[in-house]
Amino acid sequence: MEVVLRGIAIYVFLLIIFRITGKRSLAEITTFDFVLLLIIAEATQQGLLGEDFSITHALVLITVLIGIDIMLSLGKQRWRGIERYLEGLPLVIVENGRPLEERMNKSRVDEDDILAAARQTQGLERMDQIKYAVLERSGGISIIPKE
Amino acid sequence: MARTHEGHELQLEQDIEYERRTWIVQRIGWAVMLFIILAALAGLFGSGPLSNARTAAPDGTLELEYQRFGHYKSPESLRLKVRPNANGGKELRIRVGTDYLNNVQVEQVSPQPERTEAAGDWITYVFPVAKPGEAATVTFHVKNDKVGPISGWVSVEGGQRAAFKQFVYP
Repeated sequence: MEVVLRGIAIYVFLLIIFRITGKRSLAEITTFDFVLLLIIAEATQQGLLGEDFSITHALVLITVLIGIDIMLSLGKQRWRGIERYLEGLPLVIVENGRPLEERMNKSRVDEDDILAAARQTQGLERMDQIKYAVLERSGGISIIPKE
Repeated sequence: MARTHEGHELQLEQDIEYERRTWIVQRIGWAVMLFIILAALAGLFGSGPLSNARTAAPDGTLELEYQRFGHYKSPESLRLKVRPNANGGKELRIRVGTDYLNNVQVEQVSPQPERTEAAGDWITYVFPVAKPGEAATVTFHVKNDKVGPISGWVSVEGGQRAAFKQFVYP
């Protein structure tokens, strides 16, 4: 019984904390973000397993975690409304070469991030070549160039 | 719920009102995270000024240091300081309530007791005494086996009980 509760508690906690952190939390994986992710994984693992190192425990735990995931995705299909609460919505942050300052500040994205994405994905040089930049739910920035 | 399409031709679901609410909730969330960190520093989740506690038997035979907040399956200790006047005989006899012992696993007692005796609703730990009439310290190293509030008491045989309450986080 305990393993199921552990799995649910950790899943819900991680879901909430990453939604609170915002879209950008660990989106652009730098070396440091990667190390941070490993440390989080390590800290989580202790809480998930406790002192029971049996295979049964591990198998039940994996089943619980994947099970919650499936249930949530089924819920998302059924009730379109809850998707935004679980994953957020995309947000336009540049429109016709004009950065939308308030949205960028609140989402913790700056112009350099947008320009970097423009260079990497589209080979663009300047802000005025960008038609739209969208902060996606995944935390990445997608760029649509002007024709 | 107003869905703002601000003249752009992108086929995407955007909701700036929802986004604004998200930002507010996120900032509240950050405040909560800050509070959790400060509370953890203060010891609300164990080991810190808020958690360190001491109590004494009303007749002054015994003083007890313990943690108010413990963690499930984590080691912690109870430190008993026996006052000189209570340590008269050849052996020191400490009683610990079984309701407490049922909720923890005693990992180690230092110094090691010579023997333990079960009696009624307590267990007596008997320690040899090197110098009768001097203060002595006994430490119980335990692991919490139960989540939630637990309570217990300790006493020197013949003296009054020092009661304590703890809360064990999962």
